[in-house]
Amino acid sequence: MLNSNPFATRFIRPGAIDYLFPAGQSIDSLLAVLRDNHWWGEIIGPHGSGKSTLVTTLLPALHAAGRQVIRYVITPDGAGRPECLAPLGAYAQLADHPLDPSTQLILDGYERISWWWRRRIQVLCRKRGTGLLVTAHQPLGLPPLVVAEPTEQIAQQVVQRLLPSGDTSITPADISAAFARTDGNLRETLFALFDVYQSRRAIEDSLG
Amino acid sequence: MARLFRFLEKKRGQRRTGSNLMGSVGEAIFCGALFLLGMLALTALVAAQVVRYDPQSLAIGLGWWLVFLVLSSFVVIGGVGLIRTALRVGASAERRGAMARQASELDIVHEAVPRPKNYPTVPPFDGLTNSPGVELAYRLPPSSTPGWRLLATTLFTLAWNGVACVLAVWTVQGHLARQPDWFLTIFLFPFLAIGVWSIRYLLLQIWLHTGMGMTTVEISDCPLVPGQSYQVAIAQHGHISVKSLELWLVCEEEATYRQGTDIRTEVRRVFEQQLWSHRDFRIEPIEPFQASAALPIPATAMHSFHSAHNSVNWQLVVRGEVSHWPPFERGFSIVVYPGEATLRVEVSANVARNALRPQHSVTGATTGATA
Amino acid sequence: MSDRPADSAEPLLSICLVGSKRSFSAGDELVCEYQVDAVDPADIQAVEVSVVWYTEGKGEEDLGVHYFERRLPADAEDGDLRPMRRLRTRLPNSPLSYSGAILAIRWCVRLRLFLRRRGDFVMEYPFTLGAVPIRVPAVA
Repeated sequence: MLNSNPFATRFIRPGAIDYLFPAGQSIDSLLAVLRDNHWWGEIIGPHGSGKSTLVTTLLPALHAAGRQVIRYVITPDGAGRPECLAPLGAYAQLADHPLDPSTQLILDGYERISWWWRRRIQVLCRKRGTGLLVTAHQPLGLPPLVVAEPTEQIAQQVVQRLLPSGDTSITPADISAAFARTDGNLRETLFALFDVYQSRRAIEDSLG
Repeated sequence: MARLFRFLEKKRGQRRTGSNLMGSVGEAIFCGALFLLGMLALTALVAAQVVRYDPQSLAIGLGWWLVFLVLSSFVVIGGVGLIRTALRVGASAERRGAMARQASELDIVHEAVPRPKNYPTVPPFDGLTNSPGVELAYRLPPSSTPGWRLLATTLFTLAWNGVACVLAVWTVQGHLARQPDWFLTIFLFPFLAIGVWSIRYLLLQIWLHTGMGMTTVEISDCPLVPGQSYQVAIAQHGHISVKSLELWLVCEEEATYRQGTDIRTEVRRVFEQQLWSHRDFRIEPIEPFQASAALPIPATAMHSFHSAHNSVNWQLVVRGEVSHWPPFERGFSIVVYPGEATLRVEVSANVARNALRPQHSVTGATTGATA
Repeated sequence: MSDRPADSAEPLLSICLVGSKRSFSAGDELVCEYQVDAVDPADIQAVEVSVVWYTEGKGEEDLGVHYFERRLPADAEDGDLRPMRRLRTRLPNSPLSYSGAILAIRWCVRLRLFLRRRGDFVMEYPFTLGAVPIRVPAVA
């Protein structure tokens, strides 16, 4: 019976692995920055840079700080799922929530909402004293919290955490090559290593 | 004579003896021209009233309103006709007939058909067996049709050129009245250029999808079971010079991952086997190329599987390289059920002996972990 | 399969397949015994046992439940859900266990314990349904 591939989505999705903070950064330091900015902030980074992972990593600290978290992912169609919002109806749905100063609104993919509705959401949050933390691919004018820029070193560390102890099927050279091939997209790096791991293990099993 | 374009085509029931390409392209040109003519004239008619309001001409009766209705009908007939032409491109004769008989009802029935409950997660095959074949038992529907892209192109072309007509009439009227709007005039040129490009692109799409000729694939039975061999018949229509035509049995895995705002779908081909191939031949409109081949399903093949985000799909793929046309690949989905070799596990004598020994257990706990 | 926790206050979940095989043919009867130990019966809110398949790989995980049973203290003799209990179910024809290039289908017996004060604990016992061979993808 085969063991799981350590790069399967169940092991790499946000919440399954923690965000690896670069030197000088930690959950506490980010929370302090958020607090100083009245719980407003934006996490900026390209695709697969760990923005959603960072948000998931921050959630327990936000709860511990007494924040009532309301989190949505902005998708083009709202995806028919309760945790997703379509850009057009986002403001109306958010306005229905009992937002107050203890609420922490988190919107993943904030740039999908048009400038006009973003302004209205921000006015709504200011009026009700609600915290607003967003993720986006480029700055949108909120106080900067983190610019997520995965490095090869972080990719090496993430992979070492994912591999079972003593498993040497993925080498640092493999990680380096995958990271370069995917232009620094950490999620795609992990997907590329999925294929490498899968093929090497299958060959080992067929020979063994 | 058969090579020459025939002005008079003979219909035999649902089938036409003439060129499907000329039919579709001609239909598109006719409907498009009707739409443009109606749009231009209608715009001029309305603009004339806007510029110089004449309440007497708007009196109910044979006059302005009649012309308005006639021109509106040109726009509606032309626009709807163009959309229908786009939708019918790539559809088989049986499917065209079903569309004419309000195919949406049939589609609702298809969606309501439950999967065979003996084989959970194996996709239903009813959609594959509701079309009888000519040579063999069933004709397979193509996996994907150009319908949606063509429809989108058509709608864009209609909308853009409709607006272009209005702007053009407005601008010309301004010039004729010696009150030219130069900003509008300058803006009109790129607008018209895009309109002309969209018309050209639409006609090219219809030409490409129709001119290549339809590919039909028929199979002797459905669903398919590993370890068994079936018959498959292909027919390639068109007026083309074929460099190579191949038939492949293919299995693909598909996995969709949604994370945050990103949706990522990966398709990986895990099995392919060439069933048949032929090179360097011509196909004439009056006589489609036909061939048949054996279709053996590997005994240890994984069955077709479909869940919300993952699937294992089997299909027959026709690949062709044709002179003066881009190469094409057309897929036809099939359903493979679990076979005897994969349903049953061989039990070794050792295991059979051990079945009488004390039981094997695993004890432990994962702290707070959830699956 | 799972490490025994050092803290003896952790609940102990046991799953035992009757017979020594872990590979089943479609239509075979799966007989399984399960029990819970090292926990105060008054602390148990519910016990769920299920036979499920799930996907694993590069896509979202999908889950299919073939057998499911949830028991509350009121369903048990003396309100104690800890004693050993047996489940029997006939396994279906599909989906068969599969190990592909980007997708795997796995079967397991899953035992989930809900405690009033400490959340839930889960234990899985994997098994194979059918005999679809493992594919060897091309070396990346």
